[in-house]
Amino acid sequence: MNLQELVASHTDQSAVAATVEKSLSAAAADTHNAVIADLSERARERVKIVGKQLEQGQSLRLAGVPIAVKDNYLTFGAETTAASNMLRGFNAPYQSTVIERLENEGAIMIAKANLDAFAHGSSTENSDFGPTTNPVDETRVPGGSSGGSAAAVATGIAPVALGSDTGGSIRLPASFCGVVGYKPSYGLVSRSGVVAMASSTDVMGPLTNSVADSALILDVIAGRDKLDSTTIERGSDDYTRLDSDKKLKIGVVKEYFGDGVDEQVKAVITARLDALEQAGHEVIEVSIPATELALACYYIVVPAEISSNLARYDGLRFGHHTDSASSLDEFYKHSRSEGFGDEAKRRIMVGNFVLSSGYYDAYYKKAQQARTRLTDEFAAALEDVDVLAGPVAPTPAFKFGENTQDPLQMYLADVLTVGSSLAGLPAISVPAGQTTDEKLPVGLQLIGGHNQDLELLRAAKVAEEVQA
Amino acid sequence: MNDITTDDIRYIAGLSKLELTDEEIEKFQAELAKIVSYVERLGDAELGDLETTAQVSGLVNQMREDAVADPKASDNSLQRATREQLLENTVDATDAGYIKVNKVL
Repeated sequence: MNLQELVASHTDQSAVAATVEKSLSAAAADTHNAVIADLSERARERVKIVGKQLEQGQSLRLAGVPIAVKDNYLTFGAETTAASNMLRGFNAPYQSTVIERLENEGAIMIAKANLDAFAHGSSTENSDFGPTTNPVDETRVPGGSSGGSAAAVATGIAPVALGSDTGGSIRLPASFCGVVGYKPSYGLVSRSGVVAMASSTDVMGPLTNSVADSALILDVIAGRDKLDSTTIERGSDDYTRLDSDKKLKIGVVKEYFGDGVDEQVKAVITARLDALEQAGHEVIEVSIPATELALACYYIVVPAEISSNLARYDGLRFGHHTDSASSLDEFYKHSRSEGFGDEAKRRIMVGNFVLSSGYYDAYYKKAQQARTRLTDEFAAALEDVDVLAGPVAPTPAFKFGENTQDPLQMYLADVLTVGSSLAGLPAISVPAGQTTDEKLPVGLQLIGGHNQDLELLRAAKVAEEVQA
Repeated sequence: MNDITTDDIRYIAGLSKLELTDEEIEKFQAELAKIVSYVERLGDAELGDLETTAQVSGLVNQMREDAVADPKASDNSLQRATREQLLENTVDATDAGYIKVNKVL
């Protein structure tokens, strides 16, 4: 059942209650550590409210839709921890704009989903609440950082989960778990009330069972928000108008099929692209040469922004505070050293290194120039085609512990997703098939022009439905 | 460019307000050296006088009126949040709506 059918079936409170109770039971029976906080009390209160609204004849576009929320969205009814020891016990004094917009349309938050602490990671192994396991193969990671969200959708805990994507954190777990994961254009969805990672690339978006479901969620959450001055005007009045007869021109990014990309991943993606061609769409090769600079650029720009955003954790206003300090400076240092895990410390230090006097020009300024080149090359490539295509990740889901000993190795999982993040472009992971050996899901990544999200979603629907 | 030393790590940790043990300093030195050596590939790229990009929203100078709004009438929970709610997560030592801190000097 798609979301619109689910909403249509919710004609009164008892119908909503039945759906929500089913979700809550599934969350309670979660064996993948997808869910780390319970919102059942809040959900049951919301069922009554939504029931009353339905009774009054209000039309709610998401009436009774259960949603699992990545635990870096500020939410009433449970702690918001960002899966970090630093924020354990934090009760949000307000809610994120995305949550409020969804609730205004009748959605019901049922649980908080696991993530890499502060969304720093590509496997959800970096959660201070323990890793999430991949529902397809429990010996493997679900991807990250929105691993709990992807697993929640894949196991049917909720038909929708919210994620955040700074360099691939929605698309990568969607690819690894076999669901749809959509990162809208930068600025199209408000960041207000979401624990900040890197403000110039952080984007909020949904993980769902289908492209149409993601489009409906976008339609509810997109657009200007006075609480986030980086939000942009909507590019479309109606993101759910996905039907189109237009034949697509698809640009396959040749750098996304390089040496580091697994042969079985290439095979799945190529098969899907061949099917699109046979269905009458034009598939051509395009080049984005700066792709080879993208990851280096990302791991300068993003840690720099992290070092600034995570400076707010002073132990005083919120978050962990130390019991042992004899001066204010010691209070800061002890609170931060006790509260942050290794990956947050690593990124804060890389950020402060590249921003420090004497290194700024060599690293940060160079990265900002590389970002210009990358953005220009994406724009040029998109002049000729409707969407760009390639794999989401160089490999299918990897085993636990495979990349934890070497932070750089873990960073390489993002090599095909960070480019579109730096350029602010909308991108989506659509399930494209499985590897032949181990039957692991592989996601096709499609990338569109900035604020051309309707066109991207239309193309994604075509790619989702084409018979391979 | 530079190889990161343990002294560099001590210096950056200070900037970051982090206190590290000697073992942590050794570990982070090895890891950061590897990360920094990877990102140094940008040093070889011909980027010339290319403009820098700091943000990609396409927006400039978002202004708003500097006016006091009625918090109770607001449609969002951030503007409705009370002083008490905002202080709820502070360090225990709040006094009459203020946060007490350790001595600075």
